[in-house]
Amino acid sequence: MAKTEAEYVKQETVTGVVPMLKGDRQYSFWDLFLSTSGFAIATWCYTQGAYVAKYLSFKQMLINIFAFNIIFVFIECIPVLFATRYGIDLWIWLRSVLGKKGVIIFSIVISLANFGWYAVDSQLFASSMINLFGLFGLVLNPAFWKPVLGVGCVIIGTIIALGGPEVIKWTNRFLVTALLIVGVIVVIISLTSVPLSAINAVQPDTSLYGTALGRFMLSGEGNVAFAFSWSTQALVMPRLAKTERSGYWGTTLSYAIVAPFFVAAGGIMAYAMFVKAGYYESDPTVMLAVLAGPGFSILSLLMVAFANIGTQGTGSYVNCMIVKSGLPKVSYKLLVIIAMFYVSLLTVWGWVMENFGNFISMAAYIQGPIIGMTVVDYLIVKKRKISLRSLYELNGHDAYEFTHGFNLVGLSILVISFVAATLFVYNPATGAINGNIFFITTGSGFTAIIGGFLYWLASITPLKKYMLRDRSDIDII
Amino acid sequence: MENNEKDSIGVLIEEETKKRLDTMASSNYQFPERITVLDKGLIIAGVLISMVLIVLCMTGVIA
Repeated sequence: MAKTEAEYVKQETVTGVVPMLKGDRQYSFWDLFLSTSGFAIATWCYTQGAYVAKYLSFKQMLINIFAFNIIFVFIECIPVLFATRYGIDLWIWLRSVLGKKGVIIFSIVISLANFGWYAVDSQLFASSMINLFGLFGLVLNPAFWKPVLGVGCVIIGTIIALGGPEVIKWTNRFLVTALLIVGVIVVIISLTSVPLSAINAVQPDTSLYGTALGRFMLSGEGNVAFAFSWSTQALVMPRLAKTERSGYWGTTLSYAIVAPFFVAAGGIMAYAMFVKAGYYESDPTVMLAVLAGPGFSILSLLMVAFANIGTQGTGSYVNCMIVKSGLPKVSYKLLVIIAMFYVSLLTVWGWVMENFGNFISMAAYIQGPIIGMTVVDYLIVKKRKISLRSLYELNGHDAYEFTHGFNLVGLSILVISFVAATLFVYNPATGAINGNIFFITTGSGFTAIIGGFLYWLASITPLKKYMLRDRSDIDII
Repeated sequence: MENNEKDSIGVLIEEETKKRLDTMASSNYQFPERITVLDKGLIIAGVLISMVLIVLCMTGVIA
C-alpha cells in the first residue's frame, strides 16, 4: 500500500533530513543516554583497554583513558547544542563548512570508513562466540563459523536499524542497563581476583617506545582517535532530544564516561590476566573464564552479544543518516540494506580487523580537521548563527553554494591539516612519530587543533567574505 | 518514472522543510531549553581537570 503524504513526511523527519520541531522529539535524557551508550559499548572497548594497559601503569592507564576522552568528547560535542536547538544533525551544518557537494563526498567517504568499525564489531562478536562455545565443550571451526556468526551479527543489527529510533530506544533501554550492571561486575571480579597491589606493581611493557612520555602519548593517540571516532556520528541522534541539556549530556556522558569505563574495564581485566596468567588478553570471554571460572564467562555472552548487536543496529541507523544528509532523496531503508551487504563483505574480508590500530588513526585524521573546523565555526566564526534556509537551499537562498557546491576554504584546510600532521607530527599508516609536537598534542589532536586554527585564521583574512556570505540571510535565531 | 518519483520526493521534502523553518521563524515557536551556566561550568571544569591530570602524567608526577 502506498504511503500517505503525512506518513512520508513523518518518515522523512525521523529517518530523514527534515528538521525536527520541538513537538516531534522522542528522546529524554535517559533515552538518548542509553541509546548512545548502547552504540558506544562494544567489544572493541576491551581491545582498546588491553592495548593501553600493556604500556602504562595502572594509574596512568585510568588517567589516559578518561582524561583524553573527556577533553576531546566534551569539546567535539559542543555543536550538539546546535543539533538539539534546530532538530538538525551536524552534517546539515557541515554544508556551510565543506559545501553541499563537499558534504556528499565526505558523508559517503566517512560512512564507508565508519562501517569498518562495524566489521570489526561483528568479527569480535564471532570470535568471542566461538571462544564461548569452546568453553562449554562445543568446538566450532573458525574458518566456517567466524564469517557466519559475524554476518549473523550484522543481520540482527540491520533488523534493529530498520525499526528506526523508536526500536533503537526500546532495545537499548534494556540492553544498556544489563550491560552497565555486567560492566560493574566485571570490574569487581577483576579487582578481587588478584590483589590491587599486584596490579599496581605491574611494570609497563617498554617495547612500544623508549620513554615513559612516548608510551603515554602513543596510548593517548589511541584514546584521542577513539574519542574522534564518535565525532561524525555523535551529532545525529541529539536532534531527537527534547532539551539542549539532555542532548549534550546524554551524548557526552556516553562517549566520555560510559565507553571509557568499558575501555578501563578491559584494561583492568588485562592487568589481572597478566598477574594471574602471565600474558595480556583482550577477549572478555577468555579473561572472565581465567579470572573467575568458565561459569562466569556466561556474563561475557551478555556483553558480547548485546553490546555488539546493539552497536550494529544504532551504528547502521546513524551512518545511514549521515549518508542521507548528503543524498536526502535516497530511501533510508535502501541505505540500511546496502550497508548490511557492505559490512558483511568487510566482515568476511577481515582487512580492517587485521589493521585495527592504523585504521582508527587514519579515520581520525579525516575526522580531526572536521571537528576542529566545526567547533571553531560554530562558536567563533559563525557565532552560533546560521542560515537554515540556505543550508536546505530553499528558493532564493544560496549562501552556501560557494564554488559549484564546494567550500574551497574548508576543503583546503582539511587537506592541509591531514598532510601537515602526517608529515610533521605522526604518520597514522606507519605509526612513526615525525615531530616533537606529538608529545604535546598527539597526532589526531593536532589535526583538530590545526584545522580549527587555520579555519579561524582564514576567517580574519579577505577570505571572510567567501566564508560568511550568509550574514544577511539569517532569520531563525 | 523513477526520476519523477525522486523529483516528487524532493519537492515534498523541500515543502515540508520550508513549512518547518517558517514555524521556527515565528515568534510563537518555543525552542528547546538552552543549557545553563552550570552546564558550561561543568564542561570547562571537566576539560581543565583532565588537562591537569594529563600534564601530571606527562611530567612523571603521576608515574
